[in-house]
Amino acid sequence: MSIIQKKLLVFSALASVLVLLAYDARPHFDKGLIQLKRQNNSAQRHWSLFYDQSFVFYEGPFRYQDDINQIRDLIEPGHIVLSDLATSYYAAASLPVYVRNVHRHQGRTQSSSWQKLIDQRIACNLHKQEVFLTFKEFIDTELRQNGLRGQPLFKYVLVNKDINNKNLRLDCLWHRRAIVMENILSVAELKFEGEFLNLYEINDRLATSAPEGQ
Amino acid sequence: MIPIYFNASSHIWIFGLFVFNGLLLTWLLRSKFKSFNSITQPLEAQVLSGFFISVGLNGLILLLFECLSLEFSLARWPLGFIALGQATLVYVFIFRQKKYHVFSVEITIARFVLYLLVFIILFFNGGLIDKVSDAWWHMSLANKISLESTYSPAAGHLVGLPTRYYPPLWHGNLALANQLSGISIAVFWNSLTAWVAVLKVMAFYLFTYGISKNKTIALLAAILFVLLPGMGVSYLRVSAWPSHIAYTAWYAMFYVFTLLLDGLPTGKVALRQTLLQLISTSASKIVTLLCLSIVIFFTHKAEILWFAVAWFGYLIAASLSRSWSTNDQYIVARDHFLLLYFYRAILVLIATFGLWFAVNHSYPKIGFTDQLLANLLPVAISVILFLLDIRFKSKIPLRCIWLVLLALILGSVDYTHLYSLFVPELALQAGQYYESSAIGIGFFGGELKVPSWHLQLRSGLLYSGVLSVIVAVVLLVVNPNRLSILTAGTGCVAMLFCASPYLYHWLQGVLNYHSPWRISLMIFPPIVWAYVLVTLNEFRTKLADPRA
Repeated sequence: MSIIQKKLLVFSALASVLVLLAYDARPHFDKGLIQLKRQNNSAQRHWSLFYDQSFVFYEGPFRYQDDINQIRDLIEPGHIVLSDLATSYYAAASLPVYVRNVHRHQGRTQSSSWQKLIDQRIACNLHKQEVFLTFKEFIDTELRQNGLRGQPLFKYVLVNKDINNKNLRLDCLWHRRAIVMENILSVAELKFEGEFLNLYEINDRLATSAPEGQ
Repeated sequence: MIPIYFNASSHIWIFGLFVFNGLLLTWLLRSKFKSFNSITQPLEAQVLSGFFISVGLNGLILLLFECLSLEFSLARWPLGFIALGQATLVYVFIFRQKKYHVFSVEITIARFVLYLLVFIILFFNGGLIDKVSDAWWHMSLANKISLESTYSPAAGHLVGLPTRYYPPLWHGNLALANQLSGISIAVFWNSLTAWVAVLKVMAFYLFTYGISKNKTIALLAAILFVLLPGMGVSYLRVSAWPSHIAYTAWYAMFYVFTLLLDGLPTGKVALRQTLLQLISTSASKIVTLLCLSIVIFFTHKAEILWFAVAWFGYLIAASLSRSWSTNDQYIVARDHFLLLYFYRAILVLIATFGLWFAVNHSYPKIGFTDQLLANLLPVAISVILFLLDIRFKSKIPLRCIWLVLLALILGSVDYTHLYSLFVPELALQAGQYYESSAIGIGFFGGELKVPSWHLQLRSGLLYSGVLSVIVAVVLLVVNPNRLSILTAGTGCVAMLFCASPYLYHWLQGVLNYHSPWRISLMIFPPIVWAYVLVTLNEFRTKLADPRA
């Protein structure tokens, strides 16, 4: 093989490798991919030159920090909070509470009654009389059974009013927050009204309807 | 208007809690132990040492506080005293004795710029995944640890029901940061991403330097680590996850282990003498390895296993390279007798364990035959690998054994599944949950598990990832050295487990782990391509100037 042929071979090998590497590295420099991922509900795990803190800031709980700090002082630790999927996670990561509206693989299926409540979107349809009665019955049963078992009690409802966080849109509890806020007052009282978060505490009347000794 | 510096104070806390104390202790250790001084000569090693010592120290203090039923917020006192005490010791033993060499670091401008760029990009990218992800599960655990001042919250966390054990060291550190600063865990998670991303790139640089002993290859590999999508590679926005803390320690372990291998005495030395010499000259390296293993064990655990599997892959590749070698050239990284003994002992261990597992986990039910085959295949492969490691006088039995090995391995691969890596429409049916395995069908109609390619594997392997495995094998044949042996060995083992339902089914059964597909972490495309680029460039230079 002549020197020129060898040079050509090495050059083409080098060029091929560089092209391959550049092709695979393109997600970091592709602005359109960010929107495509967001539309397809796919997580942005790679760094990107066009990704910035605004995504994190508006689609995380950072703006709710003042509300969260005030709520922390108002709630009794160790109880269960019902909220939309994203706010449930935010609450679990910053408040002394437990949540049940989580992804299936993270414990939602461990309580069949909660799974039913969430899957059947019961809390999202409180304006319907029969659904509302089911919800009341659910609260009553939860308080009674969990009280007997010594497990955390369902005591709070947290409504997120933020309209910029797209994560909230995954759940009917956010889409129908107006219905929730209007109807929940029949079984709970408004404990806190913040810029983004409203906290409702399940009414004592329902709580005391459980057997004594809880 | 977005206050982009809304997390600025958290960065100061991160330096204080996750670097400062560790760095002081690193300097003190460097002033006392020469061998530790040599391990931590590069800047990367000093920074990583500072980080892991800090994380470990914080974890220990929290453990002590838990035993004494003290609130974690009180940890500010011992941490403050330790910092003060260490600062005094640094003054007494380093400044007063003028041992300024302790602060010397080995760094180049290119590397420094790379780390700075990674930090700046990740600082602006942020580290909270914009979708609701498992990160919140981890933050929930950290929050409950913080609130209850215990590593194992009584009522579990998130849903308030007892939950599976998760190694809590990293969560404990997050809880500590939250307790001492009052800054939310989510803010720390977001900020830490930039720091750990840099640490991960630094650890990968060290890893590549350890196996190549070439700074250009190591720098290129670090750059490609940032650029190429792959398992654990370039996923820098998830750097604050416990698994990525463990990956960082994992890469650092490779670096320290290669230094340990460098200390292997060559020549005709007896086994006992070799071991004694290794222990006496490499005590710091052994202790560092142990400490890193402990950090991994209490952070994510699985990487200890991947570390062992990676070096087992290395030994397999070394043995196979030795068996097809036509000359008698001795290569320390391949042919050292200690590695040979160790390899054979592991093969015997795997074959014995495999038999025990097959006897105890093969129940007569539908698909029994395929599952029995899955349980026996690793035993058969171990036996064949052992036979291949024996030197035969004639080449014929060796070739026959090679053929049997190839037939077994290639026969166990599901080619439809492998093909579906490139054509997603042909993918096998996936499980119920995102992380679930897909189901493959064995030769006898039995159901066997295979990893779904959608689990970050397709995006991680196509195309530089999957090609790097083939290229690594070629490099191993052409030029067997530590780098080519390790990358070919780990790459082939990882690809085989992902493509063969029999091997993957066995692995999932043995580990009882939901994500054995993470074995693909052992494919290291940045190292392979960096090596290829440097080698091709050397050829180009030689051709341009034949006298060079």
